[in-house]
Amino acid sequence: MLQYVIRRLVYGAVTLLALSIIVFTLLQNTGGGPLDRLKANPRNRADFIQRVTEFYGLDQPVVKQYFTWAGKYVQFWRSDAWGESFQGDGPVRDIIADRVLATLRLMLTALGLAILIGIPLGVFQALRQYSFFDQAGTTFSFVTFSTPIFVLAVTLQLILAVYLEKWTGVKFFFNAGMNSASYGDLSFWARIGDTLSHLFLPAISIALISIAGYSRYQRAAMLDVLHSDYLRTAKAKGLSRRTVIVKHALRNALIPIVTLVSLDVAAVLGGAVITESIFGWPGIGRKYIEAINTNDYPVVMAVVMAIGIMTVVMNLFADIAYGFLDPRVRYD
Amino acid sequence: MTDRPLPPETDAAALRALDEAEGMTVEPITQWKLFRTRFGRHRLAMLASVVLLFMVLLAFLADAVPGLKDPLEQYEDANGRTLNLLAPRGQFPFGTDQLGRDVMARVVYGGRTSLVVAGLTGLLVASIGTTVGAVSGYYGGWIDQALMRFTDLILSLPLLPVAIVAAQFFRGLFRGREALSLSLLLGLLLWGALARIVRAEFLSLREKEFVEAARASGARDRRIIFRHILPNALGPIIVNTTLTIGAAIILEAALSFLGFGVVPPTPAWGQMAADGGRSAVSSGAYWLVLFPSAALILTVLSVNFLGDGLRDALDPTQSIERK
Amino acid sequence: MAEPLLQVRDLRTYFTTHEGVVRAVDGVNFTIHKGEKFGVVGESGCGKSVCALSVMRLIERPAGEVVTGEILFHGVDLLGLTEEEMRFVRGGQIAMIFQDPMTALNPVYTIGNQLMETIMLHQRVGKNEAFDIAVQGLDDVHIPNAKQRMGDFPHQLSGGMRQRVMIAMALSCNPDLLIADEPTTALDVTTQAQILELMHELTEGRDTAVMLITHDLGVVAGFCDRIQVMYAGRLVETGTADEVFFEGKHPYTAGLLGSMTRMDEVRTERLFSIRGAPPSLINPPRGCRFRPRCDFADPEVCKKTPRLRELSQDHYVACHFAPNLDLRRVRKVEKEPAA
Repeated sequence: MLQYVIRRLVYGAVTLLALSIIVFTLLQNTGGGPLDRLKANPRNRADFIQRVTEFYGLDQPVVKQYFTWAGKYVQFWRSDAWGESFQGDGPVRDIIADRVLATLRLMLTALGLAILIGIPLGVFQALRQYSFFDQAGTTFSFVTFSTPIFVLAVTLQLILAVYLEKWTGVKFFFNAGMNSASYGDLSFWARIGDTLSHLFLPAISIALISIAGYSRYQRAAMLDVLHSDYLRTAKAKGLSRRTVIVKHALRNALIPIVTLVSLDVAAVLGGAVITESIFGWPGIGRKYIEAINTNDYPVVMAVVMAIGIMTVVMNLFADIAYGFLDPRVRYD
Repeated sequence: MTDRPLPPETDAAALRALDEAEGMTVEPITQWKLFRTRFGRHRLAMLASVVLLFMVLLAFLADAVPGLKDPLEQYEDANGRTLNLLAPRGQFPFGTDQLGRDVMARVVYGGRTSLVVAGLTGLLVASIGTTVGAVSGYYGGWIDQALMRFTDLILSLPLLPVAIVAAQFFRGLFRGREALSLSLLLGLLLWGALARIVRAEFLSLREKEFVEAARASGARDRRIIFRHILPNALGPIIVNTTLTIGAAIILEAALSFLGFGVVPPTPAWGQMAADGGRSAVSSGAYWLVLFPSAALILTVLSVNFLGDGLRDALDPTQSIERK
Repeated sequence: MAEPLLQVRDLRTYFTTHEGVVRAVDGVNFTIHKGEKFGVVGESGCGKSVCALSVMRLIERPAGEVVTGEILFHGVDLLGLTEEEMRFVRGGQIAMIFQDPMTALNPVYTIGNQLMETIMLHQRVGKNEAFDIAVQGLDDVHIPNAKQRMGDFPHQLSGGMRQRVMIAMALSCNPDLLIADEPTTALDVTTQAQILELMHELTEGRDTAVMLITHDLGVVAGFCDRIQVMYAGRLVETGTADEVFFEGKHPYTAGLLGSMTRMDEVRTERLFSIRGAPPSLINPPRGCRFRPRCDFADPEVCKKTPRLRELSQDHYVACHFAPNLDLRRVRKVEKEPAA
């Protein structure tokens, strides 16, 4: 088992390496490269430019620049490891650290919602195949799956945040930010309410699309299991319907979805990038867009790596979970 | 019983007549017929094909449509005031945007970008994915290992962040021809899943007897791949490419939404939704979001239904569920 | 004559599909006696498996349904029982084993778990006692190291071992009837023989009746007391093993026997097979369903459905012309003259 984990971590490291090289190369060759962009920005003072150039070796050949960056990046424990934002916003590490938790909060909530709603939905659809519930669910899945996330987000924003408030006079859901400005003054319960009402819209925008995917997949997986030979054996043994479905069917049907969730993590993170922009969520996704638009290369690289690391870690968790669930899998 | 003479107590002709009367004869069914029957059963897929055809024709023959306005023109009233943010009515069935442009025209022309990108991306994904998958699955060995590692790498890249960076890069390269640059970038990112599927198909088809037969009659590798194996793998390829096209349209819209797609003032649905969304919140001009979004959803939905129908008709490797 | 254990009367099971109603079992009657080894043979698709599943009431609604019939088990009509009462019968009084041992066991639970499950359900014992009974069961099917094996997962066992586990599971609650649906088809020939031997040994000892379903005549030859031949959802011949093999009177039976390849004969001509193909069960031929493939058919007479005719006690044939047909040139199994 340990061997397996180490192997996967190495694999993940290679992936991150490739990711960093690809993004770095793309950035270098877009519109002249970091040094030119830095100089082109009228906000940057000369001494700042000088400092940054020295730090990153921006006047060096590209390959050497990469190693300079990479070398500094892996020493993440140093506070200046990731350099300074080209926008003059301070150390990149702090920028990321301030925002990573917000993104994690959003991402984990979205994943949680998707799992808790999507998977049971698929299971029940399979159990009531061809019923109205099943067909409605499939239609919902299809339509949602075909909807770009920003359409979903903006629509929800309009209906639940803007129009709902207009019609009822009550602000159920916020459409911007993570917490209200007055957060600090609120009581404990009010704080929870505030957090949830801010969290709901962005999280559900991401989750809905995942729910669509999970429910379809789970429905198919459950149907496969329901038609399997071992289920027939279980019925032939005279076991109750409940035992057959819960003990025999579900236990098998819930295995394949682990893989799907694992693959979905990357999509959820991508969704976060968009949703954070729409809802003004103070996470690394929104920062990413800002950084790209302002050519803030160190921040761009840092965010990409952060997203990559989160994906690798979550994939590893999923793989290990799969091994626990399916006794046929051996780690050697 | 075929080799021995029939016993005298039977009347072969009468029996045959009886058989035919009961409809016991068998007629051959070609693959195309089978496809048509199964696809035709899938009414939604048929509808989706019609819708898509309509949209394609509309988008590319837009210039010839009578009554369709210019998507770039900013309309003014008699006093020279811009007719901006008009609700849908009368001569502006979809309303106007913040600059007084006709939303309907913009939606129609905006379809061009999305559909061109969809088509080109599909072509690219199909080409790269099939090639990589075929070579990998057919030759096996270290080629397979190497190619699959590479494919896995591409598949593990976080899609949107990389796409954004790549979009900027390609935009620099293809100044002015955004549709091309977007197609290239999406095509290069999305071929991985198809490669895996094609590889799996080739791995299994490679072992079939007809391949052995072809080899025994002296066919070279390339011929075997293209003339013998590939036609059998076509089903999953078509299905997967169609579904990937759906994903590509969404991704392109997302890029446009974030401002990394086509450059204004060329209309693109994602971008229209973005601008529309921003002003809709404050001005309540829902039509700015509604119509481009509806167009997007309709297109992708049709592509997905089409893909689903194709899968029912072409891909025998699906699970038991029926539509 | 032993008392009848299972009496099936006019069983009809139909399935509703896109293309129409499939009449998989269309009027079948048979009786199995206590302790008897009863074989059901026929081509794929003739309805023999559906027969068995109908007895167990495992036909999935709404697609399939037992339309009419009586299934009397110990005199009680199984079709009239509630689902709960039926569950009591399944596994406890009638057990079934299936064709593919690879997929018939749940891959995520140990075989011990799956064995004990049935035992605890039907025998109302606690875990410890169930464990012992299960180990004993594994011993009975000759699985070495039974105790250790209890903790194994199905994928850790070979095909033959898995089928043994299935048998152990089925017999663990001492059912009166064991239904075996193609139990050896997925196994290699040597293992086949072993499994049949095992089944014989275990059921003889406990006086368990067996309904053995197969398409392989060689399998029923050594094992069964009585045999029933099915074709296109209907019964065509039934009798003792000797009667069916050496005095089979139905053209289809003769055809089946004739197409068996034998080790001891010298081949001078092409392999024999019955011409044509089994009919669609959505639109079966009117009258005798074997007519299109039968060399002895008469266009007028065979338009009517043949009734089962009694040729001798317990030997029935569904053919208008039996026993007058001379089938010797078709079937090649001749009874040795008594020594």
